[in-house]
Amino acid sequence: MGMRRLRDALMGAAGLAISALLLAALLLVLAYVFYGAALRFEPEMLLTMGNATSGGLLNAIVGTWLLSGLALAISALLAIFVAIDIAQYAGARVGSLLRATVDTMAAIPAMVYGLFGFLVFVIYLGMGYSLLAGSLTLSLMMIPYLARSTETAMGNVPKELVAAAYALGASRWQVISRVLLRFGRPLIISGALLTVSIGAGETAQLLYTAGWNPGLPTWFTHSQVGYLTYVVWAGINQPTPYPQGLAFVASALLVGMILVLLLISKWLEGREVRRA
Amino acid sequence: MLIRIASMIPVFFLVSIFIFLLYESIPSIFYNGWNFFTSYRWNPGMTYREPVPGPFGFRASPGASFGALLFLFGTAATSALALAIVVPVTLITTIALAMHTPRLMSRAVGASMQLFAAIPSVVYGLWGIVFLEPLLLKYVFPWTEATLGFIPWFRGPATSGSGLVASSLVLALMVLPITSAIVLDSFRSLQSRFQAPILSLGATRTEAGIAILGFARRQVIGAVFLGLGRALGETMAVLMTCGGAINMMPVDIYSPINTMAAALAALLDSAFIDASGMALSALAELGLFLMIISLASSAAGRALAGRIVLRGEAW
Repeated sequence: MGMRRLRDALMGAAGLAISALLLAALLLVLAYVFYGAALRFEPEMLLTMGNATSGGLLNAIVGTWLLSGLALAISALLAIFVAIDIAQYAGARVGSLLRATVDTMAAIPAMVYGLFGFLVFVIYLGMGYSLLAGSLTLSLMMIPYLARSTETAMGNVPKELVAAAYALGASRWQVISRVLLRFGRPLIISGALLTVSIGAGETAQLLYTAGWNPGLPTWFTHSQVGYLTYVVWAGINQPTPYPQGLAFVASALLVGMILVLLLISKWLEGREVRRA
Repeated sequence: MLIRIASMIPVFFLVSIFIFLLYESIPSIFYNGWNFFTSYRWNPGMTYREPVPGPFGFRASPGASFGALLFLFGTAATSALALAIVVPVTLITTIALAMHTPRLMSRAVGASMQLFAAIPSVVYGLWGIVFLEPLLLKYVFPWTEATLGFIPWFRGPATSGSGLVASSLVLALMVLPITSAIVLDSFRSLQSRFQAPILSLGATRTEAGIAILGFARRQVIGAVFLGLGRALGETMAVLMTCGGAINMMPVDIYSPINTMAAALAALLDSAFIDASGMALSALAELGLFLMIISLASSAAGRALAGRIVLRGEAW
């Protein structure tokens, strides 16, 4: 009996220790990135454009927003229709086909998307390294996130509301646009923010589709675009301190942006859940 | 039916990714044959010379050889080692968080897991390079050389922190949020039903936790497969910490290695200058194979665990 109690106590202690260690590891990663960035920060890094290993990050910051913003627009357009189809039109077979597609797309490795985007968008469709090629490749990976969160958001709308709308003579499209999309909006936005936060941190899809630009892109195609994750990758492997400093500051900017987006997303979600 | 047409576009994308990669791989599949899986020599050949016909008449640069064994081995080894860390940690923390810990603590761990999942891959890579690798080289590897040096794989001497160990540790941190979210979720769904009866039979909390985990066996195995699917395809963090080995099989745990995803990222630009197109085709075959194994792993996980957790959506 004593032995069993002892083992139980040991297990509890071990579990607590491991949980604490995990918390510490996370704090360590975050602290390391932010502290490292603070040590190496120079104001010109945010105010000037640069070449990933020299100059500033302004072009990369703008590029990251352009790429993830355009990718969000493209993928939202498709994902909303997938979610509407699953929620209102699809029977069991089409519904499970669409769900399987979404789940499968979520499991495709980032670099496979990168390879596909390079071969198809950059070479065969002749877009070159560009904003459009990068955003299209990024949007492939975003579709599953958006489709899933939009579907959940519409499923979260009270059934009574939908039934009431139909009882008042609303058409199916009116129900979708004025009830499901309207009342599901907070959760749809929360999902979109989460999606952008994931997309902004991606690299492998963009290495061979977006390229790099020491300035800003001038058009959607044939004009390369810089982004923050590239700076992290390119800078940290340099032997000199300044590029490494750029990599740290770019990391801190990315993590900061992602944390803010994630917090807003969770806040919206929490508010909806409390209301329901 | 405009909606149906729009909703089928992603299905079309998915099918076209598969068909396109298969189409691009055809020259490589015929030219390299089984050599692709049995050789570790990856060399586009003399790309500045006129391509010469090889097996089945497919042309490649003289001296070309595309064997992916090193990358296959690296993917398998890093994923296996990462899971060897993740699985016990997941099981122990699940029991501890669900059975032993105050609610507040387990929620703090949950929230931090969500952050773990949202941190970009390159930031893990940066942390691996500037923190983990020096730590391994200065403190951990000297210790393993001294204590485990009688085993050839551990003898050393280690000359760099990058390689199998650094990549696997970083991968473990990235996979853990996925597996632990699914396992803890399935555990909690069974807990209310079984906890009181098992405890009332005189079991300790740990024994009850192990018993409940036993009931959730299916979901636990599914979670491991879903985590494996993620580990197999991870690119940037591994690319930055693996040491970028090429044309050399690892001889011990300190050797540089390479994985399928990392090799794709590292070799794509040089493959493009091979006028015969065979280097690009070989990379397409590598990408196709990587896609098939990671999709198979996630599909198995989905079938067992019943759902799939997206990054950042966990917990």
